[in-house]
Amino acid sequence: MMPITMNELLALVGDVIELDPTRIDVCSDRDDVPGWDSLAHLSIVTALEERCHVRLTMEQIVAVRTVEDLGRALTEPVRP
Amino acid sequence: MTAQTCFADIFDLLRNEPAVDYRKASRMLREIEMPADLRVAMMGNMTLDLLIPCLRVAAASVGQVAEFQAAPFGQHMQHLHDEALASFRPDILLLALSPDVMRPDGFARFQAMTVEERQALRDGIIAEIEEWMAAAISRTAATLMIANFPSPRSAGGLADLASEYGEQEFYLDLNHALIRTVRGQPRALILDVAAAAARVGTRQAIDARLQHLAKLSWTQPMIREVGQAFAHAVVGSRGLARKCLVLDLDNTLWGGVVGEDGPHGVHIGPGDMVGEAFHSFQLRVRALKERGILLALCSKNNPADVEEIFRERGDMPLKLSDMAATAVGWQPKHEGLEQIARTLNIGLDALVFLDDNPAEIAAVRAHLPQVQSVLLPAEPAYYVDALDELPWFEKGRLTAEDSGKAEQYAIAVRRDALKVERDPEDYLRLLEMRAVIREADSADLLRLHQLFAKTNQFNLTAKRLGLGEIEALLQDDAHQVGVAELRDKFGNLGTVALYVLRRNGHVLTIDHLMMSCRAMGRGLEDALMNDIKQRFLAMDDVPLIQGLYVPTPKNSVVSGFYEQQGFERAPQTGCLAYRLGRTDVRLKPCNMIKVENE
Repeated sequence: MMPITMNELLALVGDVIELDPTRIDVCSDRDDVPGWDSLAHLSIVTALEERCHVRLTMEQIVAVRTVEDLGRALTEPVRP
Repeated sequence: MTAQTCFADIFDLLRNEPAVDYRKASRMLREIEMPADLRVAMMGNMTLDLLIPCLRVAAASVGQVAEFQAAPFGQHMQHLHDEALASFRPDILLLALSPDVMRPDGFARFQAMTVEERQALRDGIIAEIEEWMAAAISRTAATLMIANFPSPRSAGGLADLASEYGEQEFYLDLNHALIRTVRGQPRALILDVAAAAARVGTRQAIDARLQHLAKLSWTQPMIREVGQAFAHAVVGSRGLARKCLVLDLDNTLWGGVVGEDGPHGVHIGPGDMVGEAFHSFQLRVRALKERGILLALCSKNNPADVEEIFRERGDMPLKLSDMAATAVGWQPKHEGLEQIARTLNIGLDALVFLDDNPAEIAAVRAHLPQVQSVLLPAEPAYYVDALDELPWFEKGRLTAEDSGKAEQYAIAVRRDALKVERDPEDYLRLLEMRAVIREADSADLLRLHQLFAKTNQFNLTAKRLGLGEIEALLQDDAHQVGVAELRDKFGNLGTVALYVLRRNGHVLTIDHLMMSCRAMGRGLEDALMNDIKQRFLAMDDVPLIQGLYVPTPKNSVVSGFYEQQGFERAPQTGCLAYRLGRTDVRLKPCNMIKVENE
């Protein structure tokens, strides 16, 4: 995995959903972030996977609710 | 930032680092506010909404601001009848179907099927696409882009290829059947998704998780590759192709510097790895010429050295005679490019310039942003790929005028030789011109579309009509579409002019009138107007004919056209309409052209 900082993560999410990253909180639920719908969620995850050279499992992907969750999912050990 | 620089920057970003810069391009695009040039409606049995950001950037990379509408999943037939589609007025309908989602039961038991059942499965899929195409053609004026089918891994293992009509053969045959179906419809083309998946590599292009999560199995690299295919298809279907490829010489067409290394010291030709790379590139460039793209040289060299290498190295695929124009000397390259555009009588925005030298590319960009200047990669073996990835030479399909285009320009040079030191009348008489002016029919559709897309100078209204709109004009009784074909003692110039007349009550309006630049200055416009005037005189109940002129930066050559033809400016309509009553009609003598009406 290529490491990523929380600020980069926020910037990436902001880029994908076209929202100023300063308006996103690391622990706001995606239901409360404008533009973070289910399709945007998938775009965020695939962009992050490409950036960090990892693949999350389907279950991890649906469980992620916040930017903080995203960061955590990246470091969770997954059986290769 | 101007829109033009923004589009050019996006084009560069995508070429250099697509993964990272794709989102940057998206941000840049949000900052320019422009009305849409292109409306794209997408439908099929995939979640196509996920493609929109990428396709928007892809369209911008070829200078088009695009707007999108995605139909609900699986509603491709219903959506054609939806009011939402009609009011969107799409220019492009994109259909992407996944065969195994169309026929889940069929594919689930594929291995247990007989050959006949497998063929019936293929026929059913093609029939559904044909039905969609027929409805889409009749209900919209859009161009249809139909995605073909990447082949999945077969469940039949190794034996699949050995069995009769196995799964891999099935997919080959399905794609083949799609080609044959789409080829028959001039307003449709294939979006080559299968080739995109192959370029990315299936393992990197298709992700089963994404299919289960979102009903679109395409990864980000795959979506970007489809975006590139889309950009090519937009250029091809909208008639945005550029007319001429201008090439540098040293380290572009051969390795080394001819002025220093001599014609036998440079790397070109088989037997030397670098020479082979340049040889392959020359072959690729020559293939472009065969597709109707003009070639030209712009190089800082002694003209004598350049003539010598083309003479001495007859083994090179490209010949000096392949070049429609050359600018070889020590002047700055932007001057050479301007000279080439003047010689060929085409706009600077019809040129693509290739050079291996970053400084030359930067200088040309600074002076002539209209020219698409492309820096070749450092590795000559990749020149072929770099050329293939340029969308600027794409045509949806080729017409007779394309295959003969290089020949046309060679003939033009012989004509110019005749022109030297003769008075213009003499010259025109010596050309022995013959024209046929006739009503257009459906066989003229593609050429009409090209004329609408490409004619800049002799074009009274400069409106770009799409294939569907032209088709509708041909079928409408209130409109008359005429074309002129021209030939002279040197050869056939093909269909070079068109007009569109619209009858509305007591007025006959010339909605469009245009002539290719290769026919300008020969008096054909008089023959064309005589034909229009005669048609007008034949309509006893129409007292007035009206011509429209819409000024553009490029069509000032026709600013006084209607006045020269005896029309008077209509005072109450601002500056654009010119009128002529029946009794004032005078035909202009047109002695230099023998007109043979059909």
